[in-house]
Amino acid sequence: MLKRLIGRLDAFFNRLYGSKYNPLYQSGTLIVVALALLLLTGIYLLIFYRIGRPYESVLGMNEQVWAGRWIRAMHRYASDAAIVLAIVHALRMFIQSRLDGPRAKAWWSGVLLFFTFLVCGWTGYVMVWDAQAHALAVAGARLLDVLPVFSQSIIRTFAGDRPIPGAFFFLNYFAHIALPIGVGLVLWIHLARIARPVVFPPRGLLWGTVAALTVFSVVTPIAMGVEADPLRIPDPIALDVFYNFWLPWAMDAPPLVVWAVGIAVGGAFLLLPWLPGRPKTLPGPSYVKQRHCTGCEQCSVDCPYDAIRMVPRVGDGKSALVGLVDPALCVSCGICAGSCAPMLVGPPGRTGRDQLAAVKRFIQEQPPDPATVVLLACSHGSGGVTEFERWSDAVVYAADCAGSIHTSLIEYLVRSGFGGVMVVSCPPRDCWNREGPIWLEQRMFHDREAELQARVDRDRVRLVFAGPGERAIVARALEEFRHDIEAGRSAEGESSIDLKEHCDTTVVSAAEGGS
Amino acid sequence: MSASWPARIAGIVLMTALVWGMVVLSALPYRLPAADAGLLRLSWRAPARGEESCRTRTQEELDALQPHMQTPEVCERAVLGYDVSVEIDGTVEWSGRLEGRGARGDRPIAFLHEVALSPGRHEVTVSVTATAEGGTPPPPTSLEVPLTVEPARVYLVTVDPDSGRLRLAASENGA
Repeated sequence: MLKRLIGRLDAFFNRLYGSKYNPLYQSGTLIVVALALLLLTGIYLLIFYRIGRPYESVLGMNEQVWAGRWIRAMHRYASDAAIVLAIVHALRMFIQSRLDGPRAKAWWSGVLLFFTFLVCGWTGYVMVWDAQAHALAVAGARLLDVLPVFSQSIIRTFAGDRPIPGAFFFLNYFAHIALPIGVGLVLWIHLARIARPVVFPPRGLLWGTVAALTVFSVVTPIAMGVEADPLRIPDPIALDVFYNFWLPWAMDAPPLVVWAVGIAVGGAFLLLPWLPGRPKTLPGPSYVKQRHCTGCEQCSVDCPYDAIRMVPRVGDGKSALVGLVDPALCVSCGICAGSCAPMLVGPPGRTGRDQLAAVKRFIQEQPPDPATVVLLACSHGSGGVTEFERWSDAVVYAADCAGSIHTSLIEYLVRSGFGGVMVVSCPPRDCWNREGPIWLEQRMFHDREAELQARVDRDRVRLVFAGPGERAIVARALEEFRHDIEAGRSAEGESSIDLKEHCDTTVVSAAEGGS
Repeated sequence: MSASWPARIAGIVLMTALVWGMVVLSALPYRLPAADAGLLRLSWRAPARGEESCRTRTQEELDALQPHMQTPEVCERAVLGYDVSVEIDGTVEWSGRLEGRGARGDRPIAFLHEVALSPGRHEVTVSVTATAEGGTPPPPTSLEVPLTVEPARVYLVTVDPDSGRLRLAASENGA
């Protein structure tokens, strides 16, 4: 149900912004934009912050420093945006089950990042030393006091019977600067697993986001709260729900209960990939049949997770190097299956030749008909048409991921006599395996290895991008495709499809024989 | 897929609304539950008082000890705490014993306790008495004060560092 909901939301946002600029697809990169804004505005604000006069210096930023109140507002709104986007990003990964196996590293590092944001936000709010800051400091001190670490009660620091020591503000200031360095480190862990990480969103979305936050910073700058006074209970305080949602509860609940709930919730999020109910084992990792490997390196280049490296061949063979899969990094996406011209790379049962064998069985069950279109659809998206064997008078052939489709499959279907093959892939930014649609498009139309052969009639092949909630797009594209096919020449099936001209002899004989 | 112009405008409107919502939630007025009442806060830090009694060892005692342990004088040290009770309008709201911190109990006494007070006039009595075990009188003295409590105010009872007596403090326009 959640998958359907997110599919519909994606489809709605795609209609408004186009899939390229869909902020839901770009939640991860938009966090980076927010962090960059936080860094820039934070450096500016630090110039004017004074540890000895925290409230007065922030008040000075608001009233005397050039653009100070706008920069402060930008700092606040960017930090809030980072939290909102992090929640959206995590929800997407959870609902799409993209947190198991080797992806778990990205999950736990993401959860760590989120909690680091929260702690960093706590220190940032305390720096202002207004009423909200005092409430946060007292709530934090209550929690720290129950730890058997500190020799003296921390909460007494804020009781009002003596001035708050400067060391407190210094420590807080230091933490607020040090934590972002930690964020950078964890962000590196978060991204190091993947090849070619996309860090920034498309330019339009990037500047649109900056513009939106700038406009709101100017129109609704941050108002200063009253100065913290230990001998006054502020009424009311301006609570930032995104960072300080825990405050109303934590002020009254016993500190040990707060710790227990915090640790339980944080631990559950952190360990989610290993909790009961999650898949214990993923499909097996890809493998490379090294005897037939030509050493072209394409699988290594295409792998979105840097899971395939080229190593020196042991013994005689066609090339000095052969591909080797690191099972600890491989998520079994099958992108490499589509990249291997000899069709001998991929997860078990999903290599190119396995795909060819499967499509042969499919053709036996669904005899080709020039009036019929095959929907070669990604099971993650495609408007959910892979639930059906036939949909809108088209035959449906489901692929695990459109990026794993070997182009020989398309050729085989076209040349066997179907009216056309419409490949339906997830939108490029919503690929469950990151780069599948990009590589697929290049393999079909731009001669990326393993390319769709020139002999395949391009009028009978089409590529459409549609997310799980975009069945209407598939329907419209199918109608247009049928119309175009009818306008062109009629399809003719070949009685004997010979792929030997362009493929490795050994491999094709294996494919013909099935696997 | 790229969006049409009407869709883009709708997208901008939606994004504006979402960011506006975020801005509102980033400074949501929140009333602390304690703001309806006043608060009596007792907070002080005072050195723990110790008592030491020394005596000279007898020759027999000294002979029984190893040579390196034959110090002529032996002292016994006791750190004295004190009992505190807080009465509001004649009713004891809290009472307890304060003792020095640390393994030997000789570290300064640090005390913090809060009592919520309804707005209005109250008689507040903070009694500090020596423990039943006896010993020297406690460092802070007792405090008895009428208090007109206003909502959202904190009334602090603390030890005056100069006089060592309990005193009442509050923010401006307080008690």
